[in-house]
Amino acid sequence: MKPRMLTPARFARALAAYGTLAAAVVLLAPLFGAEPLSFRAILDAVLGRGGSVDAEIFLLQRLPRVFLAFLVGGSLAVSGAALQVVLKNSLAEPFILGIAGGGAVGAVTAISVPALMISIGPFTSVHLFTLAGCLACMAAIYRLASGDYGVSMNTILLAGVTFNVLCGAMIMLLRYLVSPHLLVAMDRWMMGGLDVVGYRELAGLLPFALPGLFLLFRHSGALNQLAFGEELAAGHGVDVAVVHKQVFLGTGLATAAAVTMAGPIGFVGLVVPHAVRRISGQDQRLVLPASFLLGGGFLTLCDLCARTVVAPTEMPVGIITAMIGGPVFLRILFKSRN
Amino acid sequence: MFLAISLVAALAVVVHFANGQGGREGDGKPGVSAVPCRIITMAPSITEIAFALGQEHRVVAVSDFCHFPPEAERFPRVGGFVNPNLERITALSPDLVILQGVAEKAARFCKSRGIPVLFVDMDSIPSIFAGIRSMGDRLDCRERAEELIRGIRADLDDVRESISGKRRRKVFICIGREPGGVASLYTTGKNSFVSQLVEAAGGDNIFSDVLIPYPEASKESLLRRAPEVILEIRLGRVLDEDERARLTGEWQVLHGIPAVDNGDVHVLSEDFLLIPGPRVGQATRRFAEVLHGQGGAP
Amino acid sequence: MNAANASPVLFQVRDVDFAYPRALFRLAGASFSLYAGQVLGVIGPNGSGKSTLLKIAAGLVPPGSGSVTALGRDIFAMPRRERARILGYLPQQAGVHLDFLAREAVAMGRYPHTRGAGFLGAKDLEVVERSMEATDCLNLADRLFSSLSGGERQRVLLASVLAQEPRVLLLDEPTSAMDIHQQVRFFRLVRKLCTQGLAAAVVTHDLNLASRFSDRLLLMKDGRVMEDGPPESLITESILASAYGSGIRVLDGPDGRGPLVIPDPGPGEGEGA
Repeated sequence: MKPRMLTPARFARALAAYGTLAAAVVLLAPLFGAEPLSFRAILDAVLGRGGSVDAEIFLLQRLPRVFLAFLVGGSLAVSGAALQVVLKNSLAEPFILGIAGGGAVGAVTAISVPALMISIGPFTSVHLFTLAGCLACMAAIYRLASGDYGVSMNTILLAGVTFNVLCGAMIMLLRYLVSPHLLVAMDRWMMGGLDVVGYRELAGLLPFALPGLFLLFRHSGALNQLAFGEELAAGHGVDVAVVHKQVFLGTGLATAAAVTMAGPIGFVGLVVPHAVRRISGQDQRLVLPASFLLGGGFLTLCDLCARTVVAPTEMPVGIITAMIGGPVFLRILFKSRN
Repeated sequence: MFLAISLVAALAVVVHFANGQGGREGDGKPGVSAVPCRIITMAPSITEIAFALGQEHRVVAVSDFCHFPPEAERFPRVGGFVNPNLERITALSPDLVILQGVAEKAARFCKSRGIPVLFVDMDSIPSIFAGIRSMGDRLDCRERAEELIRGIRADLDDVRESISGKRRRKVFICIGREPGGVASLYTTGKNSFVSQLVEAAGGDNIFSDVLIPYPEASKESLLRRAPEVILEIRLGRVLDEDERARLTGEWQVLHGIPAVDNGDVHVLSEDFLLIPGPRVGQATRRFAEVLHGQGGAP
Repeated sequence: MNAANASPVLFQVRDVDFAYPRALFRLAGASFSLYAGQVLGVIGPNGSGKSTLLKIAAGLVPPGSGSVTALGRDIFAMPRRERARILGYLPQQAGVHLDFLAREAVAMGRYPHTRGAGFLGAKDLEVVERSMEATDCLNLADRLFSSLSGGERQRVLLASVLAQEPRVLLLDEPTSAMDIHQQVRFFRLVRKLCTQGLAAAVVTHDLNLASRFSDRLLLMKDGRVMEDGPPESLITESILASAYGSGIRVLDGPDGRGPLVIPDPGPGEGEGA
């Protein structure tokens, strides 16, 4: 497809298209699940005419899960899109920052030491330790990368990769030390999942995800400028140091929120932004919101598969994202080559 | 000292290589003349069977996870399923290694050293009996093996009798979940021995239609299938009352399930519940106690 | 050409000191002024501090001491966008790793003039077209920036700087990848822009271009300003030799418009014959 300049009309048209797609997925996804539901019973419950298992399943299992999938998928995709620009690396994805590594160490620690079992508000100890791990890693990388001229994106990349390796070693050490009965829970966490009951976790996570996403969307125009290098962007009036800092914080918060709720779900953050760029061009003002909508829709769809295909059992959603996302991505690549 | 050990080990390897070339015992096929007298039992279930058959004098080492019977604690340890200690296995110069399931690393190693291997795959009541028989054959104690099987059968019949006339109860068996919440619920399908023991104890596993032995359950289906009892089996350590209360409390978010609403969530931590060995009768009795309210946890 | 004092000062760098952390190089007491209607050529050997000086002038890096003022105001106290509406800075290197069109690249220059989502209005688009026309790259508009040659990229990026509608141009080796025709076109364009009231500082390694197109030259060496004056007084064999070392010869231009610099092959086959 021949790229064109982004005009308000084209921006609105494209977002409307992505938005329609996302809305369709979000509206349709709750209609399917492991168990067939009576929608009359759900309606009765909503109208206060007596509860039922159907309503329980629909309102407290399916709906929050669909919302969570959408938020997690969207956050990962937007973070990936922004990182690919600031790190000038088309293979960048949210987990390159080492943030997920810190989260994994947190989760594995919480799983290994049952004495650490605490819960604050809607969060279990696994959530709390994952979040703490993510934020600690983020703070450490940020400190390492802060220099005389703001944060160095190169250092962030290197520190992130190093942190991932370090965290991997710590996880292996913990795995080696713990009782083998706990390994299943650890492995399961690593595969990612969107298993929730009710809305409390979702609500508890919004204070992290929303500011993160806000920071990223706010700088989408500046990200376009950064594509031509920091110096030209600075010459055009972009405060490069501030943008780098806030984009790092934004991706960090959004990724931490996603990892805390759903574990390290791969592929969404890498593939979705590329798909959006192939379809809609390079302008990040469109790429970021479109990635949010497409990423949210994609993960919701993958989770729909995860919870229905092998019903009454479930599959880890990370397997599905890779199995659906891989071939789709290859197809996009090949189509645009020809 | 070290030199001596390595020398002995090296010699042992050479000797076994020489022997191993002819015999095809590495594939677990019977038909070897001598009864092995230096065996390594690589899983708790195997160790328990070897002891129950009265063959502990032939055992030279056990896996890291074998803690029963108490005498087993005295034996040298040679690692586990994932990380067998290959050097120590070599040094002990076993003439038979008994493995459970697909213990690929140990199996490949034994094959390359010509150490005879016996595979047993015990994950159902019939396969436990088959495992006991094949160990009885190999260790030349067929009579004791049949006796052991008769004993287990009698245990199971006892339990069946004790619950006869009692209403069968719908059970959700949880063998693992994400700590602190009710996410990633692992259960047992109909092909797992745990499910079979619960069925024998007068429970109907609500996921008995699933063929995968240890699947992850859909919570929607869990709600829909409305179990009357939730059995959470959580191994690794003894739980105190507070922890037990906390663990059962974590299920409260799934209100609407009869088991949760009626306080019929039970957390069990006895290790024999998940060992497919001679104590399955005991495990079944424990399940029956919990399901039918004889001394089970509240 | 020597009306320096008559034209208004648009831009001033005064006594700028600067040192990179953990590096030997330092800039010491560098000053220069840009006058409306004039081109300043910045020359000097590699590592003499030309690019660093320009970066400080453009506000990318704050100096250790000294001041930079544009239209009489401290550029470091100005909001970035406002600064970018006065100063147009073209860096030495500008890669791209996203597939933007050349026209989109030029449109990036409108950033300081937009708010919010940054969509371009009719006036902005007109400025973009005009800037491309000025740098002779309208024919490249619908090509991918990444597919352009080095010289083409430089023209497109200059257009993006012009789209800022700046009063002062700070250009760091803008013609290093151009053929001689394009170089001449480029410098003529800069001169023309200056006659419309702009001021420009152009870093270049090409002493002839500097000599023939600049009103004044700034010669730098070892982080200091060595000379500041009109080309004819500065382009001499002795001054150049003390700045660059030997091997440079200077001839009088045949057309009387500045001296010519040619390389000296040194004593060898050619010399005696």
